Amino acid sequence: MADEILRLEGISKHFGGLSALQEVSFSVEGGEALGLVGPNGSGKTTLINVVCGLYTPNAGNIYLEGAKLGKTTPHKLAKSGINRTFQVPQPFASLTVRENVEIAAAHRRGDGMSVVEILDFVNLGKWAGQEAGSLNAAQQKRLDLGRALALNPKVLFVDELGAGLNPAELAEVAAMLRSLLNGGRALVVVEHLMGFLDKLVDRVIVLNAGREIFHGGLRSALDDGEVKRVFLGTVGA
Amino acid sequence: MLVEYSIVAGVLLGLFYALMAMGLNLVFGVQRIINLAHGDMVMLGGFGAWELYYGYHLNPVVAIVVMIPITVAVGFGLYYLLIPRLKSAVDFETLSLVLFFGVSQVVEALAALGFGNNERSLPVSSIPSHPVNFLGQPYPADWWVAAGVALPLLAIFFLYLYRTRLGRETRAVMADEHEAVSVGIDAARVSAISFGVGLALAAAAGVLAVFVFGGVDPSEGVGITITAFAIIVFGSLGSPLGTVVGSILFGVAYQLAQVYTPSWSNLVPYVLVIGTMLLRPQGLFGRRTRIA
Repeated sequence: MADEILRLEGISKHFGGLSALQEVSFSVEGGEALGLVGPNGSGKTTLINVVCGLYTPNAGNIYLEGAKLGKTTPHKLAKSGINRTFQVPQPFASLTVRENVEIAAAHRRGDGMSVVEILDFVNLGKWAGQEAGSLNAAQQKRLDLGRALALNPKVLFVDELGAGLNPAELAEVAAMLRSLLNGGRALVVVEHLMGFLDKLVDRVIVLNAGREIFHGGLRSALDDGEVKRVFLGTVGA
Repeated sequence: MLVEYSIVAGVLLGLFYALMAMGLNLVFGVQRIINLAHGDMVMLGGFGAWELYYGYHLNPVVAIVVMIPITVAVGFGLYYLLIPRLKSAVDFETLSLVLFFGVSQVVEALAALGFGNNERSLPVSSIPSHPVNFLGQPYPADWWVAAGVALPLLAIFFLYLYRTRLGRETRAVMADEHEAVSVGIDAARVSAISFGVGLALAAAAGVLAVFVFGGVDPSEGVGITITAFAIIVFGSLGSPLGTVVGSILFGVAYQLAQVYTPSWSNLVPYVLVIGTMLLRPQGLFGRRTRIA
């Protein structure tokens, strides 16, 4: 059995009277890709923000490689190996593509891919000297992934990296992400595109209104009555 | 001839205005805070030079070198005292306006208590004082001194911002604080240093302002803040290059107004802000509201 990288126990997060997350628990192992799905507003990005330290949870604990994470600042969590991409990436526009990756690599733990290797991996080597603000949306998403990889993550949260990509680009990104699992890294992939997830993840957690409603294989999720109701508004065929 | 004179004078004073406004823009770019006490920091720089001259016989230009590390350290501490608590509020931008308005009032009152309400000046002999002829026109020496000190300080600031790791991290925080922390940047530390650097730039400009404005008094802060704000809006909020270009254009416009319509010249900053808002709200160099 592979080593557990990240474990969440009973994570809850409230914004005033709104309950964004309710006792969400899961774990992910090295070399495993976990899918996190749910309709808009189900709490997926909130969960990433909690794990990455941008939000403080109201309840629950987070463990990285078995060690409980106390109240830690986001930049320290990033350095410790919990990294992410953003649903709508905002590259450091006036820095070059290379500088965007270098600035992250300066904070990485241990060894990892070099900046040149990362730029090649995300297919941005040709644009290395260009201002990041001039990249198109798909390139900005790849740059966001490159910056996260520069930190040599233990667990990488990928937030809707497939959104807006055409089928060829989706297949390319899925293969790219799959290859990241080889080094014992864990992936948590937030995505709406089931075809994309099918190529990538071993199991999924389905959230609705901040609550976990399903945990298991993707195919089983697609047959689950409550999941169907949440996504399609109907039960049964 | 008057046009040439206005342009040269505008460029000289524009460099001084750039130094005066840069700190305000840096603090806004990094923290999205309009520091309404910025002009009071400039004023304190002037009184600092006055104290160092009469207390320690320190030349005002040398006083700038002494004051820079001190003000960076003070700003660094002040950041941690004021900002983190403010940032935890839901509407921290609005609250910051109220807070720094209060800071401005307190600093002005304390300066009045400490130095009195009368204007204080430094002897013209403390810097070169003979008018300098350029293209057949004489210009006050203190304008050349102000430009000559502002230019290398601005160059050092740009080197820091564009050629050092800390500067790149500062620009990253200016672009997006959440993305910056997600790549391991300690945004609070970067912001605190930026606050200190902003304060140091204001204080350095304050020393020069004693000569350019003919003296320093506790009530000058508000007017300086308004002028600096007009310049950074015109040049683009968050754009350091915009501040330099905006300052020079403001300097030229102000000098032209001084020459041709002197009684209207004090309206230039207000016309600049309103005109920018109506014609190009993002300012000269703005792609959006904020660029790093």
